[in-house]
Amino acid sequence: MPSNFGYIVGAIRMTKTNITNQIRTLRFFANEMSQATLATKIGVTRQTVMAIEAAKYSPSLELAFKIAAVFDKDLSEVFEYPKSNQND
Amino acid sequence: MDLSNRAKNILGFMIFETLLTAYFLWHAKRLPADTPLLSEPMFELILAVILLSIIGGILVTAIVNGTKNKEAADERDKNIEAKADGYAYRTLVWSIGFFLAFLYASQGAEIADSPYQIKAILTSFTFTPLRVLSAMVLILWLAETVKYAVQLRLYRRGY
Repeated sequence: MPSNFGYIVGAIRMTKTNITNQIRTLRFFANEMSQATLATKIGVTRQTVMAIEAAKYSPSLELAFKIAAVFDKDLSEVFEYPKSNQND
Repeated sequence: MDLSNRAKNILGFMIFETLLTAYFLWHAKRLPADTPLLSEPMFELILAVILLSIIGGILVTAIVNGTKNKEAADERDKNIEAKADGYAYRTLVWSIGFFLAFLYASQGAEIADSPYQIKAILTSFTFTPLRVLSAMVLILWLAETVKYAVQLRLYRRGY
């Protein structure tokens, strides 16, 4: 039986998403764009950009498209989902 | 500890609400246990708590944010809040469930052949309206604290 304690333990467990990204590299090639500048361009906080870049938070599809648009790239060039997980 | 502005706000309100709950419970404990809810001392206590919550809320916001404008919540903030609300809701439902069961048992429900005299233990505590109100305030505080703690943890680890 899932107890409330179990839910809380679930909340504090460290997890990373399976989606990897190239944001750090793309920022570097975009004249070393700062996280704050990217955050302003896509309308989120710098902490959110940090979390996305560290693959700790998966952005919504809309936000992912906005990030790709900033670097003038396709979505698949910015975000990648490993092939081994695609049948999960 | 390096905290974002949003995390500082959450921490500020968590401390403030804990102090406010302690203030209410401390004063409620000093009133006679059989004080009716519709009475002058209760009215004064509830009015004081409402005024303190308004003034305290303004003070906490001013201290944490200073002259900076409050930044708008983005999708991650909203997701974190929704997740934390879920934990708070479960805490609230479970706590109220346990409390109602305890309340029911304490009102003389039979516990057949109990070797531990549970009924005697439960019925030794009398629930007056003031005590029920205090327990409800405590449960609400617990749910809010769980919400704030989960939010702080999620902000700390990213999501």
